[in-house]
Amino acid sequence: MLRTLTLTLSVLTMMHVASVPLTNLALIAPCHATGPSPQPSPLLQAQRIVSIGSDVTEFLAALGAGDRIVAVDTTSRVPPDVVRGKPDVGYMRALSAEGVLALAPTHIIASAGAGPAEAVRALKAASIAFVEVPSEPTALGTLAKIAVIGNATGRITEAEALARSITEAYDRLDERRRGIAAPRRVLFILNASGGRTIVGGHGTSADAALALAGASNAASRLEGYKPVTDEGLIAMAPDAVIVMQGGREGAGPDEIARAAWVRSTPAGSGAEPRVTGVDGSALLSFGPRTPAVVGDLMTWLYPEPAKAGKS
Amino acid sequence: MSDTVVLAAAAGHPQHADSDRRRTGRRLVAGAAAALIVVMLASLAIGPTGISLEALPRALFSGIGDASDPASVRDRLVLFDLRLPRTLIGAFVGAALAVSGAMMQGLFRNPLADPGLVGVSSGAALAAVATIALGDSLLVHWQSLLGRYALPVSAFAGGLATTALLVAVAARRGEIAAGTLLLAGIAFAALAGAGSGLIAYASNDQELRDLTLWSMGSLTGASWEKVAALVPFAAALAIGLPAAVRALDGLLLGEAEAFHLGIDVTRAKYLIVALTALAVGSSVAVAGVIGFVGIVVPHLVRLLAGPAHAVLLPASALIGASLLLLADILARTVVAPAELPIGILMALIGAPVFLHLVLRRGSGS
Amino acid sequence: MTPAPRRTDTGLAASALAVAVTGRHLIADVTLRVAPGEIVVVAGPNGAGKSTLLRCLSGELRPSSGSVTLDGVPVSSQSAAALALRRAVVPQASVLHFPFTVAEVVALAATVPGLSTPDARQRAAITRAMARADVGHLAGRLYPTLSGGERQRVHLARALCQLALAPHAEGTRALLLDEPTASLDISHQLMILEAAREEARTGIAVLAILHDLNLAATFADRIALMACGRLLAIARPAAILDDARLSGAFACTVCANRPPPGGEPYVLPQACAAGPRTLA
Repeated sequence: MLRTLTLTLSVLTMMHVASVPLTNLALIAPCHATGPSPQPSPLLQAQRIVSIGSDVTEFLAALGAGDRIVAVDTTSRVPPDVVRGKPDVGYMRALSAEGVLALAPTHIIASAGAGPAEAVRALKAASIAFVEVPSEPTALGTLAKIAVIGNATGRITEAEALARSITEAYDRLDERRRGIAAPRRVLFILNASGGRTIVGGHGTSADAALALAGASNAASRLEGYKPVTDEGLIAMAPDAVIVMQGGREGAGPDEIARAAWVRSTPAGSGAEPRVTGVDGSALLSFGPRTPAVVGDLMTWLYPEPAKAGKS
Repeated sequence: MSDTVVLAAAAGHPQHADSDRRRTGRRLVAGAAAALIVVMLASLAIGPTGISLEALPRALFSGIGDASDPASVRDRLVLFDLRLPRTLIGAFVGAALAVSGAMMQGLFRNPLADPGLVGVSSGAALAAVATIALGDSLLVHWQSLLGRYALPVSAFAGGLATTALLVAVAARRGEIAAGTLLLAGIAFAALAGAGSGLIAYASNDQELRDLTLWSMGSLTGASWEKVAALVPFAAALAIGLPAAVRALDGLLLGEAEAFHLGIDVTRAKYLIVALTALAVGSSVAVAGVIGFVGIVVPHLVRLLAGPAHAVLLPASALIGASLLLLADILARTVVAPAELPIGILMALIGAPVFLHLVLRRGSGS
Repeated sequence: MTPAPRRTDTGLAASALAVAVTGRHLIADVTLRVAPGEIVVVAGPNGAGKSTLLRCLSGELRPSSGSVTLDGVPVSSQSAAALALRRAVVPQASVLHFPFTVAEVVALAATVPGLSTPDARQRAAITRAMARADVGHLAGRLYPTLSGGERQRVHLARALCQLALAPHAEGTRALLLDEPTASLDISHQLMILEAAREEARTGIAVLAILHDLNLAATFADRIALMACGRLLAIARPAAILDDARLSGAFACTVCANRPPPGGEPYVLPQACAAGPRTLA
């Protein structure tokens, strides 16, 4: 019974999000309000989860299932108190099937990018629940993640609450975005080291995040994350530059702000260059922290709009 | 009188020396075969899950009896679907790389030749990477025509082209000076790197990351499907290698000397180039670029049993297989539950040996 | 010792041989025949085309025009393996980076397909060939550690072994030596050439390139004098070693059969005697 209910929830969640304004998601609440909030069954309590993907880990923690995680992948660094001390199964594209099996998990909850295909196939063949979490970098995609993870962990009430708050957060972002008259051209720098500057082009999660923040991607003519020369960066003429932090070693925002090419762009025309750093995993993972980080970004980009912030 | 003494000594001695080495060679091959069996069993028995060979009978019969018992299903999966194909592929890759190193060293009369160092692996990897990245666009027909063989066949073609280029570089003298060989290797590796870079630039983020992992070498993706794809390559090598033994021995003396000994030098070179490309291409296709096996193993065998290829090729194959499997056991247990790329481990073992060889040659000549 | 009259097409023969590389002739219009049992020594200044001639005769180099025949059959029409059953070559000492033992290098001769195979016979042939080239005591040594002269003798042993195992009934066998005495002491120079003479006595056609005209005079049945890629003359040593002819070929003053004008002593090796060795 629990299972059908959860299934209904996830389907409803996705259908509603797809067809009606996000705030109307609250419509599904009565479905649950009829009975007491279902307690996690003993079976679910005994879950041993290998979490693969930083967004998956964050959502598991946000849904209160952090204590069931027995191991995470290399990209999972947040929340620190959940991932601390947990074995690392390696980079999510180079998993070791036997290494994961050795942790005797009952569930493997993995982002859709997990691999290699052979390891995933072997893990699916093992008598372990393998849950694939979609990873589309949109508000809708975020809700789908919550639905799938909530379903897999039996944390229905929590999933519903989280979905609602995320939805509201995205709705607020929508509203703020409508107030933006002239979108700024923003450049997203994934990594800059040794004279190589890699920027986020069209089709990247950075592109999606910039769109959410009401900015137009200055590098939208590129496809994917691409290295660009200083001259190419000047030609993109960004109004502002966002530098990813918390990833690989590379130049931080202060260093970028001093870079010569910035001076030749609108971003560097003022007294103070328009360059800021952003927590990459929070912005790009489309996890629970993404709306807040996007909101901060919007505030930084459009400091004076009258409609900004919650009234 | 003294002449008769000299003659008598001479009459006894050569057989002695000759048969000594031959006996050492036979012992080495037998010992290496025994060692490989032990290492293969160890590779089957060791892994992060801690499932040992004791589980083998239970795993074997789980299919017949209680298939629902999750423990035996898991044992079966780990032993038969994870460790066994990985062990077979690791043994093949180690053997193929060691043998291709031995062949290239004979072909170029240079003990520093190694498919990884002179760019043959890079060429094979470039072709493989192109197949992966363009498999569903530009090369879609190639992919659908060859199916699971598309990758190894592409890698073979890439390795063949690179080896043929090296032979063309060597053609003037029939022998490549160590410096020329390594410089050519750097050039080829750079060229192949540029090609891979170009493909990486054109591909999306996820593929890009796979390409990086590709260049470090790993047996992570071992599967029965890949084992099946390797079978024709292994068969071709098993048939072709014995035919190359005499030619390789003769070529060590020089191309003219080989011809005087009745070896069709041109045909022998084609054969050796093709066999090398088969070995390198198929191993790169399943495990990415793994260097140094081709240098370390033949060097070791020559120290023990001399350069005669009737011993060098089989002994290198057996020891190369063992070495790679041992490295792989380390790779998948040291940082468990994650894995180290085996290419990095092999470089740790191989680079010092290579340096030693280079320094010794430098002081010798 | 003089070979009996034979059919004119037996032996190893070159006819109107020419080799041109990028338009320049390395050899041109060379016609000669080495009869079974005969020793022909090729002499001449550096760059005369001696080695090119030898490479053509061995089948290793295809001539631009003309032909090389063994018992009348063109060498170019025969496979490497078939040729290896009929002729052996002693090259100038070659470099080998791999640690073959001396015995292993010599034993390579026994691997030519089609050679008589019984193991005992092969072993005996290997042992005897090494003894004749005086490398028996080096059998277990690694080839790369040998001196230049020792290496040459190893290759001689290999060639002798190859010929000893070749089927005798098939026709003329040939032995080609490219400056076999270049890095040898006097005693071993004589030893190598006496081994060549022994081979000739068993009916093998022998052609050797020699720089030492005295050795050539001592061992050759005929001397082929080459200069600038052409065969100047081929005849008995007495007819070739003529002051005017030699001076012309080598472009320097040569006096045959007379001591140097300054009266310095000169040494003329005669035969490989056991005398000096008993001293040691």
